[in-house]
Amino acid sequence: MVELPVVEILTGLSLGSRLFLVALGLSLIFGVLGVLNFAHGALYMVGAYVTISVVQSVVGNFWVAAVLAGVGVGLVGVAMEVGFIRRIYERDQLDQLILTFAFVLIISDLTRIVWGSQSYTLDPPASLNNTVQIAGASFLTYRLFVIVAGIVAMAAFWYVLQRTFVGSLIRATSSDRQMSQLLGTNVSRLYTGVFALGSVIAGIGGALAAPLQAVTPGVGDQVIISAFVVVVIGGLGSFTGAFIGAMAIGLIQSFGTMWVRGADLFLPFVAMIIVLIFRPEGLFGEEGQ
Amino acid sequence: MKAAGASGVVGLTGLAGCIGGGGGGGPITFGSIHLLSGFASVYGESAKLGYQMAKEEINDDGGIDGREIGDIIYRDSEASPDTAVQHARNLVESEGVDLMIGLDSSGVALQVSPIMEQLQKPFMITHAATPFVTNMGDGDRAKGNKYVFRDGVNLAQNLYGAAKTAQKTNATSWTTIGPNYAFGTQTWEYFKAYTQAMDLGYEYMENATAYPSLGASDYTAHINKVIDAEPDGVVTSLWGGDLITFLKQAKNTDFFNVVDELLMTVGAATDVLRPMGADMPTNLWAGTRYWFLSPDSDANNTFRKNFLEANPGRPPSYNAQNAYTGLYLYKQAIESAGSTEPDAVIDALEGLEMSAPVGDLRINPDSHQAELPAVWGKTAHSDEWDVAVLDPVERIPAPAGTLRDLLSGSGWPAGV
Repeated sequence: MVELPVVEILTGLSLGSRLFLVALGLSLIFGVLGVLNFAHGALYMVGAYVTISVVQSVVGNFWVAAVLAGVGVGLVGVAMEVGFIRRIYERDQLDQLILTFAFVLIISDLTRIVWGSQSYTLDPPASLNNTVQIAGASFLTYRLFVIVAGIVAMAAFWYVLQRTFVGSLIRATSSDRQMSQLLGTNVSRLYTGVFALGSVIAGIGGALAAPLQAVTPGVGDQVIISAFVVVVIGGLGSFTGAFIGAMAIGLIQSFGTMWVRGADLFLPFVAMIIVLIFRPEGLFGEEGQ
Repeated sequence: MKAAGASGVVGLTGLAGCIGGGGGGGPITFGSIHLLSGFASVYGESAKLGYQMAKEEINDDGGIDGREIGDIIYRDSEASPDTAVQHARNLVESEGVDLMIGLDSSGVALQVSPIMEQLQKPFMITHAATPFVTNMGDGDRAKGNKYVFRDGVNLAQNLYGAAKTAQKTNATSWTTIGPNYAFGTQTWEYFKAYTQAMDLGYEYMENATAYPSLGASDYTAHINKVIDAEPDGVVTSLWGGDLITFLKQAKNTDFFNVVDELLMTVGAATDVLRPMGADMPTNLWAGTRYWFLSPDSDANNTFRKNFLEANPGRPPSYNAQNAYTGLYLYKQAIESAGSTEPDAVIDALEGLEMSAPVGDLRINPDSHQAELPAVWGKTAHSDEWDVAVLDPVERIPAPAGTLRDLLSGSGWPAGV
């Protein structure tokens, strides 16, 4: 059974990559704005639904749909930030949680009014809707693409944050908001931009998930919990942490499931508890904050 | 829907008519608890369509004993036993509903059932399938009581059909993939209990059993686990969106190359088949609590036609049928009792017979479970319908006595 680990590893990476695409925006928004956005999963869900509607419309193209999902959810994010969230940056984190939780309920109900309660399904784009043989096992090409997408997203973020001017503004503001403001950064606009970017990623994450599963009104619920676990393990606000955390959780779920019942649900929490005990700031805690 | 009331209770219709004519009273109200939000809210939505249709038909036809069906007050269980218990209390104590109906999840039903004994109101369960709530014996697995009824096929009836279906195949080594809660594990236990009692000589691959969490987005790791064990057959109790996600993901692995027979205990649910459309894999075994094309009876053909007229492109699901039939059962019971008083309704429900769309059913007076056949078939493409259909489809008789005999000694109640 030499081939077994390869299957497990690829499965784990694909689970991890799916998680990372949710955790990334969550971590970005927390890292820069200090807001734990509970509604991130709901935004992800909207991305999935928009993708399905666009693919089923005259457009009919998955890639166009994914871009539109990102843009559409990004606009929702702008409305949320400008209309509501920016008013409570100075407030207690509990207030922020309550506000973003209200958005979970509002967005979920609006989604149900628009798309109804039924499940939707979507095929992967035709060019990736086939299987390849790796180590004697069949893999959906699209699933491998999602692994690559996660890695590319990580690389792109690292580049933007470490190597561009906007990136340095984001890092500066994230470490000291007042100083950054005094030095002439338009913090308000930067925050809107970061919240929008986080939302865009949520929308695209939902778009990329849509071909892999049933899209139902609960799509965002479970994913947001897993994403929180990932972000806590990696360190709130750390992208490297979110990436490593997501991949670790994916691999833990993939291997754990082989031996322990319920591993997909409880092992990530066990990992989170261990990290919280021995390294409360998360594996890469200081980096982003 | 004349046929539904047609078989009637032995000649009591005339008597009920007399009482109804004289009495009257205000509208009859119902409290209904379903999954109305989250990943499985389509099940609650389907149930609502069933209630609505029955209510309109009954009210257009003169109501129940001359009384209209008034409000059906819906509450969202949120798949949480505690929430559902609160709703049940509130509906009975504050809203003052006459009768209760609904419930989608076994976990919820197990908690609500004992509460109904305190609240002293009849509850017609339409979907939750655990046999425990129609088992009035003693012990942990007896959660039934005189107030709780069920008009849908329960897990023990459905799994008897699964065992009879498995018997037709050449598969000898079996495992399961199901949601990680009572419904998933009980499905496997009942499958084993029946097939052992039937002496089928199966190997049960316990190490390969896979229980992903309810509503999970990715089952690939669990699918790998099953593939790795190479069983001949797999029985799955995954339902709703979970079943869709599983099938989508299994199709793109070696699952169907390795596994010869997949038995989906609630796979022939139109709420699953509609979104799957032409993607639904064919030639798989699928069970259901109600199949919209079977039986070929007046009651079913009329129901299907009317339902499709009201809800174009949406063949009635088992949840819609069970909700619809539940209201008609109450109608028949109230008319024969001449009142909505709980004890009178309970007496009338016990032993009640009805020609429902799902078939001729009888409420077993000992368990309060509807005696119904298990419906199983093979998924097939259809030119006529937008959904995959069952072809062939078989109605497997599941007599209470047979089920109890087979399960005796296993410790698992038949709840029939």
